[in-house]
Amino acid sequence: MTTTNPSPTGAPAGRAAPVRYPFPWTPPMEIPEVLRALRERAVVRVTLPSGDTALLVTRYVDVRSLFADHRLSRNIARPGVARISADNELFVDPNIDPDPPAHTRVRGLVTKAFTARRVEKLRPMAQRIADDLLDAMAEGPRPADLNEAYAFPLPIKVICILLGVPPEDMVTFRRLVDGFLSVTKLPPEEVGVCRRDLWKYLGDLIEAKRTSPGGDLISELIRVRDEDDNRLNEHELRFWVQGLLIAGYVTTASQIGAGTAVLLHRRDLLEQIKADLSLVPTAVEELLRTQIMGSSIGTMRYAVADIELSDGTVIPAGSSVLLSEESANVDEAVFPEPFTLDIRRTENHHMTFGAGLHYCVGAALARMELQVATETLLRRFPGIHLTVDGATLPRALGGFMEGFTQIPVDW
Amino acid sequence: MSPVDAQTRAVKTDIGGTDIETGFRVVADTHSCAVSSLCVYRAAAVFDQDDDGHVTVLDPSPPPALHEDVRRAARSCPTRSIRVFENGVQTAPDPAADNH
Ligand code: HEM
Ligand code: SF4
Repeated sequence: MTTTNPSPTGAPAGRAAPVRYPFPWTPPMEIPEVLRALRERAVVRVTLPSGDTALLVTRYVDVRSLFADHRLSRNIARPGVARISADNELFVDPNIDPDPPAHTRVRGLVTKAFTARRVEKLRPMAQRIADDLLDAMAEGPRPADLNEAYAFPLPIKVICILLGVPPEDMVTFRRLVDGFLSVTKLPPEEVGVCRRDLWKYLGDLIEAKRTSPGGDLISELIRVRDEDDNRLNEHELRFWVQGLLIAGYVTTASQIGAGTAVLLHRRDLLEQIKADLSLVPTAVEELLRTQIMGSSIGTMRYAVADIELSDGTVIPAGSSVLLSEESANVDEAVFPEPFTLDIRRTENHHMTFGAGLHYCVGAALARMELQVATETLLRRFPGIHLTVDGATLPRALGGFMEGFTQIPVDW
Repeated sequence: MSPVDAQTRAVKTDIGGTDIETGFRVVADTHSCAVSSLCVYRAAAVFDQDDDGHVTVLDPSPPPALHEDVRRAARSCPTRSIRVFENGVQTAPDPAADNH
């Protein structure tokens, strides 16, 4: 595939010099500079790591309504849709129908495990995991890497318990998932091996659970599947288990790490939260709003019809479309002083978990984990600090998420 | 309480109940709900989830102390499945932003 979007006819959308996407993290600890002027146009044409181009929607009002718009299909396995990576198909799977009604049917089997009541039942378990990890960190070498000591193992252990995945498999699946999420980091052959091995690992896991089921979500989905093939077929089952395992820790871990790094860099905010831990929930939301851990490349969609935006700009049918959560989240039409980190912000309806029919399944779980992680860390280690200048922390580039590679801390 | 009961009760309070001064009513659409759980966290006395996780309204005419939480829940619902009417006029989410 060389050409991607048919050239726009009618009112042209985003016709200007192409802009690289994801945007560079300049400065590294702040909301990217490029976001300041981005909303002058409702749509910006961007060039992806693959070299393909897509239309990036910039304004809150449009992003929010397009997340719920049926004229944007999530079926990006069709020919002509822009690729994110030239070396990795990522979440594209021609055997999955990610649009309603098929998507709605399967999603409904999963969401019931993520209600407020079910998530709150998991809170004490997340708390115990956080306490144990910090006990181990206190005994370990100093400085510690917050990613490896805390930010990654916490959500990994939680999702393993929820899904019934043996935690000792962590080393294996983390390596495979890293390859699965490579955009430019690994050559295509290595990506291919990781994808195949991950798919096989999940198949073996499902078979093992079929033989000896437990009280976990995978066993529950297997039960549904074996009762009625029309509700969930074997391929869908494995695809969703894969999605839940990956989305279940990669995003949350990157956000725990990057969000905490920002707080440790901004001592003024850190001191306020330490003095009043009841600020943790609004601080967590505010750190989510600044979307410090990655871009919106995962929102790729395909326009099945012309779509007129709020200012009259038309996205032509056939376009590949990205919904910029990070730009919507700093839209001055919605958020007062959007470039200021306000840990007390209450009207904070950010787009970091999306909106509409694909709204993040795990949002309540992620929020709970972020709250537990932040509060427990600050309570246990009031003196915690970065051992290097936060502005020099290296970004994890070349993958789906763009948190920090290492976060050295002492206490 | 089933959604049907909730509707009936809302109408009743509109006619004869004490809420007539404020006329504050909450409705929610189970079918468009995406199970974010945000509304339950915002106002647990007013919203609940059925076994599938879809929104149910426990109290369609909540007391004034909860009104701002309920309006905020309506504004934050990622699928705009919650609507607040005051004296017959939709006050949340902003009807002007309702273009779908
Ligand atoms: C801070 C952490 C997280 C962030 C920022 C995040 C973000 C998102 C976003 C933006 C979407 C929508 C994508 C789109 O519409 O294009 C999404 C979907 C999804 N998320 Fe999350 N997520 C997080 C944590 C989790 C967790 C913990 C889980 C699972 C346990 C999870 C599972 C999913 C699934 C399965 C979907 C697909 C939903 C669908 O297509 O209907 N996520 N996430
Ligand atoms: S906030 Fe909206 S989408 Fe979320 S549970 Fe409530 S009604 Fe459903």
